[in-house]
Amino acid sequence: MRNTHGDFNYDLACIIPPMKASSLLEHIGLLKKGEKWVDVNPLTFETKIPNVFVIGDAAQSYLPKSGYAAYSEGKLVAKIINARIKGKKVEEEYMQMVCYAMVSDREAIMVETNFRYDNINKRFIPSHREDNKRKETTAKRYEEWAKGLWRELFG
Amino acid sequence: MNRRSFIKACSTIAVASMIDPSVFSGLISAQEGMFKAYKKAILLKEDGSPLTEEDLKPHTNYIFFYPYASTPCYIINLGEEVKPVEVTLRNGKKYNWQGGVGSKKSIVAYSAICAHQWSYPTKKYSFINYYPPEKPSEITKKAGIIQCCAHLALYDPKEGAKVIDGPAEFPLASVVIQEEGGKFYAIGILGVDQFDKFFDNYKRELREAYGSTAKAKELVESCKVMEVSKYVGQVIYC
Repeated sequence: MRNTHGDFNYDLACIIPPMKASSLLEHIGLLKKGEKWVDVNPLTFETKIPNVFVIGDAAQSYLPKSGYAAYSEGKLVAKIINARIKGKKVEEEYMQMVCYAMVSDREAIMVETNFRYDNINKRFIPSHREDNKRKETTAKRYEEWAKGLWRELFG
Repeated sequence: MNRRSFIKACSTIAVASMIDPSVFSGLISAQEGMFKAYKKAILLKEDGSPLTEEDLKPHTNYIFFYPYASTPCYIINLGEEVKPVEVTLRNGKKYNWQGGVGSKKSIVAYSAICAHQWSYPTKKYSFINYYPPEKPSEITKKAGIIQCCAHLALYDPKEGAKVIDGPAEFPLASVVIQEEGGKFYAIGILGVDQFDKFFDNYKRELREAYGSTAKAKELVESCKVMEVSKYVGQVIYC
């Protein structure tokens, strides 16, 4: 394989192409030429256009570009839209990332990061917890975690 | 309070006060729409005789089903007096949680349906569990809590199961337990219950387990109480 860093031999390669937000966002004016991600208010995921929100990989965010992050952001934005329709305000939101990884056909490990907003210093403070001992019970938790996610995503 | 919510609150309190006048004074003050009376159900041991205080070993997690045949609840003797507290929800609503019951006021009961994404103890697994003082969570290092291992929602059983950490928006709903002559009765649910979401999300599972949705939704008149580890195949701690 050849790229700008040279030639590489491999038996199994995991290739991640350069990532950026969809060009659709350029067409609608949310992304300038050369920009990779859309700037959003980190607390609301609202863009510079009022009441227009961008979540998931396309947003420039403190959260990782993961499915669970997009899901959490989506829930937050739904609450904000619902509150605005009713003329209410959404209070400070707690954001949580949970990531499970199967390390064999029966065992898993997991990591969790919570983000709380420090209103004084205007920044997010992450706190991490991990369960890095491979266990069958963690694999069962993984399944329960995923079921909860799917229930909310697909009903 | 508008007319509709006033009538709803009055009818709820009226039903509760027919059960026991002491409920009236205890719940009327701040329970607008937060307490729902269900069928009064006696708590029984596995052999069918009435459950007594001595049957609840301290810091042991027991399961029973109330107010519906399929909705699991936990009853725990926390070993010390648990005082009433005011529980404040994120939306600002408040209610008075009644504290523990029994001679030491140490027995508490909550819905075992996680208020986050409704994980609940099944015959196969329980991911939401009580962690006694001598067995803290490996991940959160906390003990004396109810913790759901799916997303690490943590609740404080000494404080009306209010959320102490994690993603849950609401406390666990509390089962209002009344003691009469050494016997225990469940009389209603206080707080934000998750029953509608539970029945919506687990239609298939409940049909399989109970034969039909109607059977899963049958209101109970008595509840058998047993150790969680006897009901669940694998209690999963984390």
